[in-house]
Amino acid sequence: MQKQEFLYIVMPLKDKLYRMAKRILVSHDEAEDAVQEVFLKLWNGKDSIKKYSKPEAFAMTMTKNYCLDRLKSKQASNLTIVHQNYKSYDSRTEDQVEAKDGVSMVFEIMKQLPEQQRIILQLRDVEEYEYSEIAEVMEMNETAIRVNLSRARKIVREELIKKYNYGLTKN
Amino acid sequence: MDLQKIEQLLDAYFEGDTDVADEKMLKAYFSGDEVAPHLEPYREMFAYFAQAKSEKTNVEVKTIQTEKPGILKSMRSWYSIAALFVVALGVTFFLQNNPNQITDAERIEAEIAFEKTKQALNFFSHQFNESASKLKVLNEFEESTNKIFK
Repeated sequence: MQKQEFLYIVMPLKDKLYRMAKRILVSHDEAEDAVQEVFLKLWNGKDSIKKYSKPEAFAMTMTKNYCLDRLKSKQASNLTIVHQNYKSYDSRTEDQVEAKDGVSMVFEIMKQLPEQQRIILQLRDVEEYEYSEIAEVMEMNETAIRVNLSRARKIVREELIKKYNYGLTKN
Repeated sequence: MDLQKIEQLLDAYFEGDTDVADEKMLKAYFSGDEVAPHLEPYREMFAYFAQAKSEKTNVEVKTIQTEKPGILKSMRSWYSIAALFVVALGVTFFLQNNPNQITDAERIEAEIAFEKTKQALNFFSHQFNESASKLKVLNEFEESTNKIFK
């Protein structure tokens, strides 16, 4: 496969993969590193990418697995990336987050979700994937996806209402 | 859009029973200005989804640019063999063609030089033999001294 063809398939996925990586790893730098790494892996295995009917799902699965591995090895070496690297948000997003306080609240809630639910919520509500596609990426069946998705959405709702009411009574 | 429909959709949404089109409808409703007051908290949730989707990266795929396509790489090992072949061919041709390139004048010149060298060497060896024969006297002298001092 030629470089041009490879880039044609992979480049449109860049931002999606980055968002996925960022959702899991939280830090902006970590996420960009992860995307680089995944691209390299895809390039090295570029001849096998053709075998997959959906390169996007394949790339997503790869990103998810890579990031979860990174997270695991981080936790194993007692590096809490979530809090230490929190400030390394790039300024652009930080400004946006600050500007919309309510939205940044949801960002915070997202971080508290278990990884799996966070990923499913990301794929469904942000990237608007179909259940079958999510099932492929997560390597789970659709029923389990629906259950996890419903659970994740409810957690976000509860937290949001809790914070919202708190804010209202405070003021 | 009527409120009842939205509430229904919202309930289904939290049960995971909506499809992508339903969810788009919800997103559209909550991004508008006419959100019912009691649904206000959900607005943030949907605003988050929209914002999370707008996140972009400027990561460059730099690792790929330094990589060479595989075919060229595998060809590279043949370069040295090809170069060796060219050199061997060149040397063979050179050796084959060179003797024929000597002209008659050159050959005569070389023969003259050869004769001159031969003459010079003959002269040298002649002189050397002459001087060596003169040393025979010394040998005789040594013999007689040995006889005396035995």
